[in-house]
Amino acid sequence: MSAIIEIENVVKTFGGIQSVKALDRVSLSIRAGEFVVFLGPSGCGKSTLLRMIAGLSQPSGGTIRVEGRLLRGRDPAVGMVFQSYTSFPWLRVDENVGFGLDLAGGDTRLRHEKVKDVLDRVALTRFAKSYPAQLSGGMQQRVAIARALAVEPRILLMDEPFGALDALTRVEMQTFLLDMRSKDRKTIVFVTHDIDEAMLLADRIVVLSPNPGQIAEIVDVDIPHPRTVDQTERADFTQLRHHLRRLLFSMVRNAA
Amino acid sequence: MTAYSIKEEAEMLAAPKREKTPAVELISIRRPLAGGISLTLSSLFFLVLLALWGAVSGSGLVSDFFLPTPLQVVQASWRLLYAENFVGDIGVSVYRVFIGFSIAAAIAVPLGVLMGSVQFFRSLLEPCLAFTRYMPATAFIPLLVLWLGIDDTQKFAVIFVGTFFTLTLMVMVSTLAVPIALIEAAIMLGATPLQLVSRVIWPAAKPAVFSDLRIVLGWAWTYIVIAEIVAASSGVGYIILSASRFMDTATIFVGIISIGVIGLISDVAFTVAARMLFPYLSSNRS
Ligand SMILES: Nc1ncnc2c1ncn2[C@@H]1O[C@H](COP(=O)(O)OP(=O)(O)O)[C@@H](O)[C@H]1O
Ligand SMILES: [Mg+2]
Repeated sequence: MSAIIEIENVVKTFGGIQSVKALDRVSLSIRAGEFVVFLGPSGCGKSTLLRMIAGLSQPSGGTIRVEGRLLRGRDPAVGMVFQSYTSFPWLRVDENVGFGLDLAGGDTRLRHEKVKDVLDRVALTRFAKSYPAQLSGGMQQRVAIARALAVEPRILLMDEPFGALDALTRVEMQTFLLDMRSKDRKTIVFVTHDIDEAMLLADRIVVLSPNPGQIAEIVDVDIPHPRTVDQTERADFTQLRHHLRRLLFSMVRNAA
Repeated sequence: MTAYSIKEEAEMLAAPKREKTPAVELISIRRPLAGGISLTLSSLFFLVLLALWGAVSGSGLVSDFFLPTPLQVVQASWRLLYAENFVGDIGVSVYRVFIGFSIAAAIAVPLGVLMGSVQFFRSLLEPCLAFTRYMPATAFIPLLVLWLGIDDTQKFAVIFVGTFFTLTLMVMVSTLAVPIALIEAAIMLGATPLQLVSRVIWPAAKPAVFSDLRIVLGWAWTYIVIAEIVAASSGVGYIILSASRFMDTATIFVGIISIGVIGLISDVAFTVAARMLFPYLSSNRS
């Protein structure tokens, strides 16, 4: 398969009196349809890298290409789901989901059908007329996912989207994401610092280490789909978990 | 909310017979009071003030030349309303405040949103506005009389000078408070810069801007009274001034209280309007 995202020697420094090198010469190529997880301790530059793929921030050095195009700002092929709840509070759920479609304009009836379809996919049809503040955290993140999906991006970036959710809702959302992906093979780049979440979701785990942010290791997760949370008890999962845990803990120890 | 109910349940299990004393209940920190209690409290405080005033002014300790009795004030308002077209004067003042404040708001709100959205305009204008804001509007009144005379234009100008600069800065701050995450989410959905302002920043900032307007409108009343006291032949300020010439303290009281009442009415109007304009703010789950 061809590369849909190509990251080449990307460097990111944040200016200021004490400049911080958040990422140092990161190179990575992501294939179309792949589910890649960036895993690493807090502060290792996961969000920084993801935001650059989103076009929300520019690399200080190196290049990022999406579908062969050199990235300069947001690319229509790329959608994003954030960690914090970013639903527009003044819009009802269906208006939130249709937001991107409304921006682009076009046939109203088609837009309505599209919104209905996406709401159905994230099981929020019943809450179409609610305001985001009336929904639980998990439902709000489903709105965010639906809103991103409605404009049909080929690449979906997710920055710790379930980080603020309680453990049970989290598993429910992971299952939902796996299920969604089995039906529609988007390229997904997902950020987390949770080892189990990474293993459950990823085709490939990119482990980042801090100071400065670099790729420490890339791990293929050869566990067949469809995956379920129960499988995380399997022997190969356990082995991988030990390996990743040792890797991450060594980073945290070195930093201390 | 849930933390409370769990704790309450635990307490009830531990001591099922113990009743909480209502007094303690009434002053719990950040706990809402039952429907009628709030209103009762507010009315009660007004009544206490009124009683205090009546007691002091009726006791003979203070001459009614300085402090009229509530009854004298009621009589004065009766006379003003029925013999002297006080409603007309209130109307004139309301009209002046309305026009002056509307002009200020019509420029301040878009300008503040622009300054809160585009750094270029903030850098360009903020220092100048912050500087102008500290010049007391009242000091401009003689100058405005000189430039504009003493007709309504001068009143509008006083209110404009008194409210415009601060309102612009307040709207800017409210606009800056819009979470960057909302803006970035919209960028990722393909919003153009213009759409970011019209479809994200403005709707997100609107409730805060609305509350800025409510606060600054209150100040407009201070400025109109000063402007009318300095130079006018109608309006609530003028009534206060002419009453003071005749040392008619009761009428001065009527003037002052009526402005308080107008303020209260406009505040309630704003609150009701906000509830209708921003229904999503009152539908929170938690
Ligand atoms: N806007 C910024 N300005 C300055 N430093 C930043 C900024 N964003 C991130 N950083 C720094 O870059 C490093 C990586 O941050 P981030 O990408 O958020 O890490 P992660 O998402 O892995 O927790 C951190 O040291 C952080 O302090
Ligand atoms: Mg992060």
